[in-house]
Order: sequence, then C-alpha cells, then structure tokens
Amino acid sequence: MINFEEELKHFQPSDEIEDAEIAIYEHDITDMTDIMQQMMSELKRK
Amino acid sequence: MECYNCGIIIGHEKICPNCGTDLRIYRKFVGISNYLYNQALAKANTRDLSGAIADLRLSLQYNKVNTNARNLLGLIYYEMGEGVAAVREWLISKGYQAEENRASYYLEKTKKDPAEKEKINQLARKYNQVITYCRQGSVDLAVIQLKKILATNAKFVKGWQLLALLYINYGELEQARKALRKAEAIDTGNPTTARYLKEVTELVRQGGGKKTKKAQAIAYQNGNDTIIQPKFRGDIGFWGMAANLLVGVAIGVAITWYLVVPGVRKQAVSNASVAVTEANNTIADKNNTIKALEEQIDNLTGDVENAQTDMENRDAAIKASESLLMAYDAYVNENIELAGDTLEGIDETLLSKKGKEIFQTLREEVNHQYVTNAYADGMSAYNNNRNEEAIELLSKVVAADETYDDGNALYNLAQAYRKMEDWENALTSYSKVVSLFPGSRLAYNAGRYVTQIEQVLDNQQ
Repeated sequence: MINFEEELKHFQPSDEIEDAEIAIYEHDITDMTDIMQQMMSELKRK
Repeated sequence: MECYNCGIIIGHEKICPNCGTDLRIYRKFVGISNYLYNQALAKANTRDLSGAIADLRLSLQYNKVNTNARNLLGLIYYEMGEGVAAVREWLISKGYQAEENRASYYLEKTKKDPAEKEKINQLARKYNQVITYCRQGSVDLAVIQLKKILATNAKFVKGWQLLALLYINYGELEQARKALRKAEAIDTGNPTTARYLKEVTELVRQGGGKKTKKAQAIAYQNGNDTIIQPKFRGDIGFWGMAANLLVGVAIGVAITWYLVVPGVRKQAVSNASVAVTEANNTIADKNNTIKALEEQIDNLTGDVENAQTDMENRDAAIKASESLLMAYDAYVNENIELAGDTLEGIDETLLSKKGKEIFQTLREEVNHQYVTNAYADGMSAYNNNRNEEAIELLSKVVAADETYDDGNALYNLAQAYRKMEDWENALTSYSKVVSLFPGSRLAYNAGRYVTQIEQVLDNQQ
C-alpha cells in the first residue's frame, strides 16, 4: 500500500539552470581510475 | 585513448611509452565503461530510459571522461523533462572535452537559447510550486498546476507520476492509471511507474476508488419491467407523519447549515485560490517576458554602443593612417619639422601592424634628421649670439638625446642659458654635464660655472 505522505517525500524541488553549474561542484565525480591512482600513490608512499 | 597519467594519445600498448604507467587495469575500466554505454544505448532505443540511466551512471563510475555516456545521460534526462539535470551533465562533459563535443550543440540549444532556458526554468518553478501545494495540503491546487505543466511538457515523467500519486490518494484510480500509462509511454522501465501501476491494479481488484452511495431500494420484476422503489416503512399515522416532517425539516436545516454552507464557502475559497494562482502565474509569466525583453534591449543597446565604438575606432584609425601619409610626404619633401610634428600627433596603437612598422622607421629617420638639423641651427644661432633661438633649438636636441655630440649640445645649452642670465636653468644644465661626463673637459668647465652661478645665486639672496 502506498503511503502518500512518505511517497511525497521522494518528490524533491528541482533546481533552475543557473543552479546547475553550482551543483556540479557539489557533485562527487570520482571514478574508478581516480580511486586506482589514489591507491597506487598510497602504495608508493609505503 | 589517452594515458590517464600523462595524457598522451596511446595505441594498444600495455605500458605508456611516455611515462611508463601500467595501463592494463585502466584499459579494463574503459572497456567496462564502454560496454555499459552500449547496454544503455540499446535500452534507450527501446525507451527503457530508467534502465539506460542506471547503466550510464555506472559507466561513468568506471570512466568519468566517457563523453558519449555523459552526453547520452543528459539527452535522456532532457527527454524525461529534466532539463536542469541534462544541462548539468552536458556542462561536465564540456569541462572534460571542450572541442568536438556534441554537448556544445546541446548547450547551445538549451542553456544559451533564452526561450528554451526560460521554458526549463518555468517548468522547475511551477513544479516546485506543486511540491509546495502538496506539502501544504492544497492537493486540488497541486492537481490543477500539474495539469497545466503537463499540457506544455507532456514528457515530464516525474510530473505524470506525481499526478498519479495525487489521483491514487483521491481514489480516482482510472485517472491515476491514465497518468501512469502516459509516464510508461515515455519511460517503459521506470520502477516508480511500475510500482504505482501495481498499486492501482491492486486497489481496483479490492474494489477501491470513489465510493458511490446508492439509495436503499427494493427492486422487483413486473412482467418484463424492473420496478425500483424505496423501502416501505409501514403506516405511521398522522402524528407520526407530522413528527417525521418536523424532524425532516430540522435535519434539512442542520444539513444546510453544517454541511452545505461550509461546502459552498469552501468552494468559493477554493475558486478564489485557483483564481489567485492563475493570476500569480500570469503575473509571473508576464514578469519573465518583461525581464527577457529588457535583457534583449540591454543586449541590443550594448550592440549599438559596440558598433558606435567600432565606428569611432575605425575613423580614428583612418585619421592616424592619413597623418602617417602626411608625415611621410613632409619627410620626402625634407620638411623635417612638419614631419616630426605630424608624427607626434599620431596615436600609434590605432595603426595596423604594417602601419606601426612604417611609423617606427619613419620616426627614427625623422628624429635623426630633426635632431641633426636642430643641432646645426641651434649651434649657428649660439655662435651668432642669438641665445634665445639657440636655447629653443638645443633644448629640443637635448630632449631627444641628452648625450648628443658627446655632451656638447647640453653644455652649449647651459652656456646659452648663462648668457641669457637664466641662472636656474643654466645651473641645472651644467650640473647634468658634470654628472653625465665626469672627468671630461666639458665637466671640468661646467663644474667651474656651477660654482660661479651658485655664488651669484647666493649673492642675490
């Protein structure tokens, strides 16, 4: 059974276009290559 | 493919020939990312947009610079009416690959197109208003606003889903199903749509939905006709009927007072709210139109000002070129003074590259000639005791080159000043000779004059 109040919480207000660029900086766009590089640099340090 | 460490283009090497980085794991990541992109593309072609989004997000987790995957993700968001999310992905894509990127075209058509940008922003604003209405409990206003949004943005999946949710809450199951079918037609694999549809089917099966109160009635067959009449309650007599009538009237008044009047009032308030919302929307639309027109006016005014500045710069450049020609003509006709004066009045920055070269060559030639002539004339004037003229000409020579003729120009200028009894200027010029040519004969003589003039000035005080 759908709980209307709970379900409504999934519908969040959306940004406008001007906010899109700001949102990019708050986005984590780390990929597997970044993680691999980080791990390798840590291994080298040890 | 580029080496992730140094960025050079590489072929099939396992080790980067430039920086020696092991590329085997990186190649795996890129391969997985491309595979997921291909999967997403296949899903997008069958309109399983949610499935495609999931694959593309995973693809970008493996390789964030997979431009095709990011651009497709933006395109799918755009198709689902999520313009802002689409623009965000295309901006990131452009950040990783500035040249030869399809994202540039998409951004040109959305973020940089004022009409489309306004349409996306309007959708966001109106949708946010719907969310506010829902949270305030004004569900009827939310439905009205959502219907308006969907009339102009028929592919807004989230909008259809929210509308369906509101209908489910109302018990309008058929309406909810229709809204969900619309959402399904845009995105066939959306899990939220599927879940709501399942819920609607379940509610219909349970006989849910709007309750219709049917009058209690007795139906019986008379030949081929079905006769329906209210239940007979028996004979209750005159007083009973009178009592029933009074009770009926009392109930009628009570119903009118407690149920109908508030309903009418509520309806009136609701109508007023709808009218206010409509009016607010109209005002907001008008304000946005005015803002857009004002921006256009500002842009056009800026263009006109730029055009005027360009025109003025062009006129000034033409004038500078004409002056350069006049200076050259004067130089050719050996009117060095006129050539020098004309060159002085030219703003070099307005000339073309070639013009600047000609200007500099001509200025060197003219200066040289001008100084030579001025020095010869100045010395002639000095030797003939025309000290005032000598000062004027020698000052020009010294202004161009203080060390001209091994300091003789500066020394003779000082002499001319001294003869004119212009002690201040004479003292300055002699002092310069002393400092510029130390140990020379000129400096020795100048030093003696400095002492004499200082005595003269002391006596005057």
